[in-house]
Amino acid sequence: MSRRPCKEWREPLRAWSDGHASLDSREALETHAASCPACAAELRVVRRLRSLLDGAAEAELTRAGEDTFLEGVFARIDGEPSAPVAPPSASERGPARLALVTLVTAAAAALLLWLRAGPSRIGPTSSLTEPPAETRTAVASAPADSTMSRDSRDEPAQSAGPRELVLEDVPRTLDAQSFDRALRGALARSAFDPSAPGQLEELLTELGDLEPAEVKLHVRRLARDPREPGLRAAALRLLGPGADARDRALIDEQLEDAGAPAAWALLDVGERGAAALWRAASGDPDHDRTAAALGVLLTASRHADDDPILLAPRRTDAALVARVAIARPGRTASDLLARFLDRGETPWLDAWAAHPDAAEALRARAERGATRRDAGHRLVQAASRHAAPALLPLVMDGLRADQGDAPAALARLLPYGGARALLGALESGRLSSDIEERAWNAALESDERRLFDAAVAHRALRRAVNVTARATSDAGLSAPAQRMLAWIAASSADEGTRVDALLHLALQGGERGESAAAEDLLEILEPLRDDRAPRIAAAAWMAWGAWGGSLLEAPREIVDALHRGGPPTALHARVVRAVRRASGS
Amino acid sequence: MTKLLCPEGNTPGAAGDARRSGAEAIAARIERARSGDRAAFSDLIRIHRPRVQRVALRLVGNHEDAEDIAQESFVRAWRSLGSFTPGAQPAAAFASWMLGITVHLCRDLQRARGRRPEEAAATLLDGEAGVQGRERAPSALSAEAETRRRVELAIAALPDRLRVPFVLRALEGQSYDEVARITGVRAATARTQMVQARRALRRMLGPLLEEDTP
Repeated sequence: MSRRPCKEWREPLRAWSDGHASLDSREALETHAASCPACAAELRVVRRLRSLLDGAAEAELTRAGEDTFLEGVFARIDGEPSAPVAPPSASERGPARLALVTLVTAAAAALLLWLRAGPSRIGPTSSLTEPPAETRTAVASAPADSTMSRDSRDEPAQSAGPRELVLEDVPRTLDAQSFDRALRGALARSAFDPSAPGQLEELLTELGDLEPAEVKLHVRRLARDPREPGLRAAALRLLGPGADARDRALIDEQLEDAGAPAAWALLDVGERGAAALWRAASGDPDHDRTAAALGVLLTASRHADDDPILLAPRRTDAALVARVAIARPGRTASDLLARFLDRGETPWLDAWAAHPDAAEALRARAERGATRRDAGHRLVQAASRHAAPALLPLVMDGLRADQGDAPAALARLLPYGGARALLGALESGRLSSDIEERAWNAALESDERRLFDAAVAHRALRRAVNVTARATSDAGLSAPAQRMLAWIAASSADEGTRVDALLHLALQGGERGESAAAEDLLEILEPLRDDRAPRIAAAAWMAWGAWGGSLLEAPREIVDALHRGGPPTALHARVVRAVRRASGS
Repeated sequence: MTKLLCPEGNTPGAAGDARRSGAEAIAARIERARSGDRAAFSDLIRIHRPRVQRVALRLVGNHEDAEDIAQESFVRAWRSLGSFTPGAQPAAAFASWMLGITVHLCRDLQRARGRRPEEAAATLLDGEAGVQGRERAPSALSAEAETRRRVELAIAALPDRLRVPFVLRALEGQSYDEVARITGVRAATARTQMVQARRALRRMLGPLLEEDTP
């Protein structure tokens, strides 16, 4: 038996075989092969295979003209019946042709099956490495060493359907004993570790092909057999790639007893298997089944090729990742979550961000400060659609980074501390003026009462007045901004803050005329006109008049106060004149 | 101009700048096509048709169906351009996306017809040999044609789950990640399938591989 090529050179050999080897890699391989007979022999085969494939790859296409092809495409797009690009005939592409082809093919297949019915194809003593030379059968999925011939020339033509191709000596037939022997031998030679990623390829390389249905039946039996854990583990891994629904259920069943090999096998199945693995990982954290699934997910997430995150999006309950991270709040789970955030796509993140468990997991993650900016960006977008309290730190980071969608996200998070966080950020002076204005407006429009309460609690009413006034857009004060200023004027303990709020109201009202919300505003302003502090009363009268209230009853002392203490603005002078006229002075 | 748009990125000289500008030009066409520009989409068809049709030919095994599937692939692409996500590398993403559509259509067709590709491959090879070839004995075919015939048949004889990744990677130069994306499996699964495909192919081509490399 010839030696196998050195383990570290197998991947470069495969890359060469696939036509993906770089010049450097090829030179290194050639240098190594010069002193390694096993690799040199393998390299000769690989080179030959590649040259054959390169010849085949240049197969010419018989192509309709470019214009005809394009016309055909656009005719289909426009819903017109398209002329076939190539013969035989248009009618052959229709449903009638399809039905006929299906019917005829089915009939031919049934006839072939009937003709071939006979003794079992499982050879009683055949081995994996030495297939019986006489075997001749129709082309099967992975034939053994063979020469091919199309012997339909020698056979009567089938009444329907294409000619049958026959490969000599294929497929190999296997029985349970020979498979056992081959599997044990492969395990012994390749030091197969069923719980390690990347081991399956080695085992398959050692073992040979698994296509014959009989072999699969035997693999299934071994996968259920607890008597020899090593064989069961290998059988489970062999079932993974290409598993059908039945195999998947079998592997899932074995997750509790067989542990990691079954979990790896589920991952090998593909998307459906990964979904099952995620479900298992989100179960009871003390259960063996959950532990095995979680362990494999965490390990696999550190290998780019086996990244389970890639398999989970969209088809799996998005909240599972959060549950997994919560179930094992260690560093690896946190890393897993980080990978999820990096890879996750918007619909999944949306669903995930809305889940309470996700909020908890994300809080832990955000506190570690390791969430990448890109993931943060997408989560901020998700937060603008779903209020996930744990996202607040990310949203505030987004605000500080001038992220355009952060203000909208913040607005959704006002009930979860967003209002206080915004005031804090404003006071820190780290926000750009544009983002500050947008954040404040978004917060005001969303819930000005909550913003006001936060400003009171934060002792930041003066700041709120200034920001509200500065955030006033060309369209004037919004109704929430008006109410905000009126509440501040009514409730602040600081006289200057109250006067400022009222004067801003007066200024905007005077320029913009009556507002639809003026009645509400006048209701708040009315008691302020009788305030004991003359400047507040005067400013309240100014605002009152600016928003359409009657100035006829303004008392003399207010008019005097306005005259004495009002701010030197054109608006102030105009309002004072109006008050005087109205009071008949 | 057309050379710069070569999707395979193997423009003679293979200058990085040329590749970049080619990719950018394709990206611009994708963007225009997404907004309904048929001229831009026609350019994309011209660029991608060879690869799409070649893959279809490998998978369905006859020129008529391959051409038909190539057309239908572009029709489906046009109708789904809105859902196409260009990502950071629109040109590469579009190429993979097109191949994904093509592979799905090929599988649908074969499911509908219940016909194995190696059977169709016989028709394909007969067609290429032409009338003369059909009338001549196999021994009269050139050694080169016979070799090619065997390779084609061996590829066609691979089971579908191995043939698709094999064609994409070994014949069309796609990476494992791209193969995984196109076929909807994990990259690790694509690797495993390639191991199996290489091995099956080597068994089928055994004697040919022992000849000296030219």
